[in-house]
Amino acid sequence: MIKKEMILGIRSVVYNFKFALLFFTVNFLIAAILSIGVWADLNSNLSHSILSLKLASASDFSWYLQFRHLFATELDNLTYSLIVSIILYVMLQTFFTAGITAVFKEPKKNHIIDFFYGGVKYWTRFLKISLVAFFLVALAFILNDALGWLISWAFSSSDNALWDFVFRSLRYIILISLLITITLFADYAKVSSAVDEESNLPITIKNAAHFLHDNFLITITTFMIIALFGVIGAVVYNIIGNYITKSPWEYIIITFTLQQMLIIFRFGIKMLFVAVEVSLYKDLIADVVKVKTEEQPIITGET
Amino acid sequence: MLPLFLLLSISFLSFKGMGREVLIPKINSSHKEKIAGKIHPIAKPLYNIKIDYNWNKQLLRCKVNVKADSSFIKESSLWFELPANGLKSPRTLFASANKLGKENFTGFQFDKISVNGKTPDARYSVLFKGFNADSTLLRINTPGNTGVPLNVSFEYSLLVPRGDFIFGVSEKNDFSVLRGFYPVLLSPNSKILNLPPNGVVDFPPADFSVTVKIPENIKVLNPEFSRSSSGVLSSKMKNRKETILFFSGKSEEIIKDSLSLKDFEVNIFCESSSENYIPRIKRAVLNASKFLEENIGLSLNGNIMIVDLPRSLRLNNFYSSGVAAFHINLFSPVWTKHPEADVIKGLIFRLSDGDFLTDFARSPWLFYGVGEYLTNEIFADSYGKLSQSFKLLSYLPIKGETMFAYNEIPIIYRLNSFEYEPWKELLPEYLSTENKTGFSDIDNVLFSRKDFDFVSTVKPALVLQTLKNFYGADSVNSILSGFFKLTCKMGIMNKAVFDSSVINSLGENGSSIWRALSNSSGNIDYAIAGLTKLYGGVYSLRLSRIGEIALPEKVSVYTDKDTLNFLWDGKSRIKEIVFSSNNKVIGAEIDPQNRNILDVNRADNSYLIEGNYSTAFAYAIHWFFWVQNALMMFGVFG
Repeated sequence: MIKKEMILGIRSVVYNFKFALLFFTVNFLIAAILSIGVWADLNSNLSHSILSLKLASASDFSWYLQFRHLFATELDNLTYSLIVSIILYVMLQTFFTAGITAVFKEPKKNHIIDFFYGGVKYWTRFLKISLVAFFLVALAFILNDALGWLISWAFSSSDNALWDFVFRSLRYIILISLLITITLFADYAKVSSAVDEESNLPITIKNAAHFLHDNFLITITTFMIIALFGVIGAVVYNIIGNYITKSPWEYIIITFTLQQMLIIFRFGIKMLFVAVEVSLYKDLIADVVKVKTEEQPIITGET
Repeated sequence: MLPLFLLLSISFLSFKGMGREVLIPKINSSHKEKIAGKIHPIAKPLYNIKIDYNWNKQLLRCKVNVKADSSFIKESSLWFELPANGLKSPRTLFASANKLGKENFTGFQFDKISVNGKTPDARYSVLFKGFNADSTLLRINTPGNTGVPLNVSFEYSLLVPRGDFIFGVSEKNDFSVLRGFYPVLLSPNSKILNLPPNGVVDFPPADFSVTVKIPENIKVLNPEFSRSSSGVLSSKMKNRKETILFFSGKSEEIIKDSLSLKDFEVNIFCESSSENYIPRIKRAVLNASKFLEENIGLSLNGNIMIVDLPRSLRLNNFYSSGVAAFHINLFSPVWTKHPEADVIKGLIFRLSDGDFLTDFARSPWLFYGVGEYLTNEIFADSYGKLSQSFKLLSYLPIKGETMFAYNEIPIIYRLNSFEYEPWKELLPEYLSTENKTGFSDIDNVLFSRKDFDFVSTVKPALVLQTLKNFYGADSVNSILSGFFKLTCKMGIMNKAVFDSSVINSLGENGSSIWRALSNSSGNIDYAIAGLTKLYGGVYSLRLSRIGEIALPEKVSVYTDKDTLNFLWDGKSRIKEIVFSSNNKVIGAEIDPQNRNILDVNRADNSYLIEGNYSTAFAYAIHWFFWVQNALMMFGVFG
């Protein structure tokens, strides 16, 4: 079943790839706005400096430290712009996720108008679910802190650093597992609210919880397989990226192209998550019509 | 008998009007007078310390006898430091900089103080405004004792606190470090700085005779100790700044190893979990010893204890008096610098122990700064570069850099790390220190711990590195070699001796640069303010000194065919040079070899007539990609 869903999902993503470009464009534009200031700082620091020729071929730790110190105020102020941009970005991303969910829900209606219609229709519901997910993530981090204090207390009088490390690693694994579960839960809550046309948040959450309870193995396996695709993409990018030289500077165009390909690929993976989750949800909640058949004897004979 | 309450009650009478105090005037003669010969033979105090250590109660009952000559008397008084009293109350100078819990409090409970058999007038002296409860300085009036050998006796009890600060016992009560547990006679030229945690003072070298009565199942790690037939442990130590004792009651054996060099013995004590670091520790000793011998002309002698502190004992790493005690991390690849740098630092600090006086309180850079420079040099020579790294799960070093982390969890990070020379570790603190004061006279420095680190370690080590860049490694090695040798010859380790060695090695010119770097306060920042073509082949080059400190700088002008070099004295704020060239001038650069690492902005040291925008663009692209990824990561909520 997973194989079938994956194939169907990949087909859907390829068929609707134009929406990945929409995700990418928004990401590109916001990142560009946030990068203009840094580019200006770099330009004022390096554009007429011979150091820029040296930095073109090799990195320099001293210059890096000096740059961070000289432009500390500008870089610190960027944090605020970054926070505002992230909030804006998350809201836009929610809108787009609502749009593609609508498209994947009814594959024949994949016009751009259907996408925006779905976006408008589901945005509020999805935003509420995102908020719930955000608070659950915050809770997961608080739990992680509490476990940290517990481990520190338990090992405060111990000289055994190895066991301390083992328990801290376990805590990290618990946190990652919780984050995956919350993401899975938020994803299926969104899918459930769209597919079931349910706008009531508690009912959506209940439906998603029931669904995940009944189908946890298949949903988590599918989730991990798609996540693995994303990891493979990042590994391939890093391997190729290591072979690209830093000089002459024109090679930055190749690096930049490769980076943007990775970003687009990741949006493809995000769409794949949605496509497979919608398809899986629809298939797994579909009513199974049990047909009882009986073999009828063939009546032959002479009258 | 002088009960403690009496001491305390008297102490409040004596603090008024006393700010930062210099007990004895500075040794103020010029260095030229000093190199003529040894200042004076050192009258070393002799400590006879008898400890009855009740391990179960963690209680020390001590009898300490100090024999010294009357040269230690200043204004009819003897001065003792009581380091453990920094932990006496929440209102001490030490407590002002450290959060003490009830398990950390302790203090000397005196039963008896006598000088030459008589009970003297003794009182605590409060030097630091606002810290009236501080009782770390004891002043004993000794009228009529001038010219008479002194015999000062103390009897007291002292609780061994939990080992979070200065000294103490591990949380499991199975390992203890005793340090600062006896009254320390202050040097005749002592100066005390108002610097938390507990001031900075200087101790004269001394000889120690120590006996310890302790249950047989508790082991003393110090190799100098031997157990007599009556079960009492005893030892004699010479020429030490202080005596530091290590005791273990662990059921698990502490791994002991040793290494013998020609005149030097290294004793290593490790937790069993750190056993695999012993070969690395030994290699670090051999590397340091080889470097010091080949480059500085010094051979180590005496002995050193290298102790891996248990993690349930939360003392900071310390290097003093033949002891290098530090925490060895569970995972510590060589590119993190540890434990190699700890071992090297311990060996270098060992060079400051000897039959000579020191001027630690006035010139802490002679220990910390010189130690940091040599540690970095030895590390770079033996192991190469460091890698930028961050810690995952408190233990695992990962090459890279975190830009945003939440409680050990790197949220935004990069796994490409810079590789850099060890001295560059000091640059962030150097750059971030606003008040870049000189370090030659720290009286003028308004102290905080950060200021102290800057003048004692960061700037001196970077200045030595700059001298190395200007004059070569051999010249700086020659300065250091001369410094250590002159110290032994003169009987004192102070700035004047170092200055003499600088003059001997670099001459008057080099010495003037040394003085500019060590004495002056302010930034060093040179810039090219402009390079323009006036007419024909005539160009105008404007050099600018933005920082306060002036140094001679080499300037290069690049044309499409050759390079023109000249030396600028670097004194004027703006210097315009008009020159002509038949070739096309491309750019100009101050300090092209980047010898002056103290310049706070290297990018403006050079100027290209035609701008080059590609590098800024390339770096901006990397930032852009990072932002794209950050947005995607947080976009997971959408």
